Amino acid sequence: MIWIRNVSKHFGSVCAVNDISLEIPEGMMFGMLGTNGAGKTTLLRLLSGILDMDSGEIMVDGKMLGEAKDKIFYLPDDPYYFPNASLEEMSRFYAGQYPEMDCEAAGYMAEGLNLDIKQPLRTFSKGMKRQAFLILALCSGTKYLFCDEVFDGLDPIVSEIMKNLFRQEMKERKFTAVVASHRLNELEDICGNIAILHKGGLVTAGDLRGRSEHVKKLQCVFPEGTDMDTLERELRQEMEIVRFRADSDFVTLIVRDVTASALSELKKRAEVAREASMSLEEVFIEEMEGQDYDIRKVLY
Amino acid sequence: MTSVKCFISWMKEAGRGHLAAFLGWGAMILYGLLLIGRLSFDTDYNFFGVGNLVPGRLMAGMGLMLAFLEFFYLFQQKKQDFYYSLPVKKSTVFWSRYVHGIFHSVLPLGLVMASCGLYQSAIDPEFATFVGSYTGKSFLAAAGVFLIFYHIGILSIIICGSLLSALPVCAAVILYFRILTGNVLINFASDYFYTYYRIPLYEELRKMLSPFDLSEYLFGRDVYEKAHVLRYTPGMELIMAALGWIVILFLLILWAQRKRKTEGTGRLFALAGAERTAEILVSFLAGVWAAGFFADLTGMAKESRTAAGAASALLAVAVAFAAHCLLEGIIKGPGKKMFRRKWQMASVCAAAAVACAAFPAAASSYDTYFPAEASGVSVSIDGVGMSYDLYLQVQGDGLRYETDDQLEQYTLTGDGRRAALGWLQGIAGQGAQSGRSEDNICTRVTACYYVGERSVYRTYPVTWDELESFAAVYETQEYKEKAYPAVNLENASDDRFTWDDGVTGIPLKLTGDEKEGLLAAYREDISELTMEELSSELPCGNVKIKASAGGAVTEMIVYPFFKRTCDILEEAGVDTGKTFRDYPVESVEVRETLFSTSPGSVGGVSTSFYETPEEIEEWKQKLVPSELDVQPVLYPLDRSKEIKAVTEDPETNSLIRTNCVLRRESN
Repeated sequence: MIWIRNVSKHFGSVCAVNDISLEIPEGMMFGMLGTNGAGKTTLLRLLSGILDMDSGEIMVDGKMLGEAKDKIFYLPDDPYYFPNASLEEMSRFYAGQYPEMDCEAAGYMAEGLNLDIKQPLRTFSKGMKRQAFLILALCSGTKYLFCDEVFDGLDPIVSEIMKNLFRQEMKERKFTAVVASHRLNELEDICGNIAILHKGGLVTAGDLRGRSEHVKKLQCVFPEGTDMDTLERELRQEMEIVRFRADSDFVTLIVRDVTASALSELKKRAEVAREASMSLEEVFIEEMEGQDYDIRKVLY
Repeated sequence: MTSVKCFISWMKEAGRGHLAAFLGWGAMILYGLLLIGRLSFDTDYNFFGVGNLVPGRLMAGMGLMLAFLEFFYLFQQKKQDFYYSLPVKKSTVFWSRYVHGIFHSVLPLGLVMASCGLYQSAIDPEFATFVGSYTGKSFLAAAGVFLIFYHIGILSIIICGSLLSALPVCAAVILYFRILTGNVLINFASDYFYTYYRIPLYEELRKMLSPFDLSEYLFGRDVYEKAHVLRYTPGMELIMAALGWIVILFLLILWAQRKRKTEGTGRLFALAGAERTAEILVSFLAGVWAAGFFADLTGMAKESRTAAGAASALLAVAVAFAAHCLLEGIIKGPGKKMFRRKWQMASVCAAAAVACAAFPAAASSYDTYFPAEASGVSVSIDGVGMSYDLYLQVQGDGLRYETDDQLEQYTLTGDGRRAALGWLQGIAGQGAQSGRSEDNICTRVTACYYVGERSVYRTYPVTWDELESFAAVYETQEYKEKAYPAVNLENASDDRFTWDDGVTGIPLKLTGDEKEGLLAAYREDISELTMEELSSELPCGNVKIKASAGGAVTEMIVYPFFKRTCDILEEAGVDTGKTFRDYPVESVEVRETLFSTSPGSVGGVSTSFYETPEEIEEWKQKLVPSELDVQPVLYPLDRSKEIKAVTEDPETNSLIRTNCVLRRESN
């Protein structure tokens, strides 16, 4: 478990991280979402011990961060490697730093992804480098893995391969991965918990799917010629509508804490009315409603 | 995380790429091979350590290069993120590289020095007795120079966030005090103080505060002779200065390394304190340097010190202000909060103005300073007791070495001191230049007063009347002993005596007693010598005395009115009355430089040859061998023409070419 308490970080007059308090539970993938400049990378660098915080504290498994650095592997968006070093050499180097580093597993995983472990990393494509470093990160044997924009700019196939690597490793050992991204779709299928950062501050964090159980998504077809403005007005009097989207006679509603009678009334008025599963995007829209945060920045 | 094993593993990590090892070992081995090659040819003038400035410069360069190689990662954000994310302390990464740099420079240095020492001791028996001390001192000097520059490089890198700022900061640290002492303080002193000759404190400061000068002095910059080189040990003040540089820089590195934050990378300055210090120091130096340059360029101080001081102070304020704004603009970006450090700017401008105003304010008391109770005094008068060529260098070219030599030679502590202080008090009381006509000034005197442990130097213009009154000093026994060192010779019976009249030289066949007799006669003649007599006649020649032990040569200048000396020389077969007129001259070559005096006229060099008996006879009457021109102020000769006379030596049936000068009409 990582406890982040009132952590702030300023770069000159710019506040990069503003009084963030957060708990990252163990054994899961934790997403960190935010636009460019939201403070994701700074928070990850603070968690990795690269930067020193101005105020606040970070505890890892009850220890101060400086005493727990051997439990942490930081994978930046553009990782550093020694000139002319190969994947094999880098894994040997990491083995000197992380006692749990499994060089054999790294070789095995690289072979599975058709990566030549003896070839210099500088000759690898961007996607290949990302895969190579993810292999190194996963094989380091650390309890915590901090990944910054690891899927950014990758084609869907490589992105999926890397997510599969995460999933496989998660099955084998319960480590905690914190993955920062500025795109929700990169996180939604692998992260259980997600924190949203904005202008250095924490907008929200937690298991958003679980927290949105009281919210329902309803897809309805109303009789032809129904006045949608009137309908929306009338429905808003009967139930708490988070989102009302009409496309001709087809209406999608996201409603919060809807009662059975209100639902029954809706079904009576509509020709067709059924409940649909909510995407994480919709959960976010629901969660962000009223929090002065334009969620579309991280959706598209 | 900071176990010895971890530290060693990070030291090995620092060697990845082997650049530092390649540079350190490669440069030292190459240099060692070159040295051994040179030593195999000559060990009298080739030195592998002290006495040779190259190893100092090599170690200085290596210190800077290794610092930048080892700590370049502090400019690389990506690399720092990589290192600092690993389970290792930032300080471990830093200090492992620090030790790695030293390892790959000091170790090869020691091996090369030891190899050279052993090699030279094998081929040079004289060196063998010094092999340990000389090699050890050379190694320590080289290692000290390396550490000074290594620390300067590291400090510049730590306090700066980018190479663009680290390089100028490094240059500034190296050159700052050299410029401040050499180009500012000494400039101000020479411009505002009319009696300025030298301020030893400034010279000591420059020697100790300029790393380049310090490293050269550690390697014995002014030591050339092998016997001195092998015994040379830098003075305690130099050793303390070197240690001071190393320790202070190390402490600053220690502090800066702790204070430096990762996010400082990429900025001009990684530490706010360093940024402020650099701004203050650079703005101040820019102000006073510009003011010093202005004072030097315009020469205003010679007309009015107050006006020059005011103008310099104003210029210093303006330049310090401009430098501050420029630095702020560079650091913060143009137009952004240019005046955020108003008090700092105002303080720097004020300090620059005060520094400029301090010199004219102190000028009067400096120029009228006279230590009547000085325990000793050294005196050197330009053109008195020095050949015309040296006089020309001192007067025309402003070279100081002859004056310095004379100051060392004419150090008076007895009766000469009292006379000299009395004479100098009158001159110093004149207030240097006030009320004096330039036409009346014939030369300058430089004095060094010894007050306690201090040496205080002054130089004053001297009029003809004052020069005449110098006779009171000249005629003291102590001064004469300094001016004519032959009078101090003892046990010269085995020494070699040679007579030289400026044209030919002959060995004197004298017994031991005759030599002692000659010296005794010379002492008596010198004791009766008056300064006035020096203006009446030229010497007829001199006796060169080469010591049987050591081979040092002492000259005994002989004037025709040295009756006793001349009698003994006559007895020894020397014709002391023989002048240039008595030599059979074959031809005279006169070379004259003509200057263009009016538009249309052409200057140039004309050479004339005179070979007819009439022409030769006419020239012979006017010519004097230039070797006899030993008092260019008291007995001036005409140097407007370059004259070479060819005389015949009947004894050897050979031709002798002699450089001559013309007697003046007044002579």
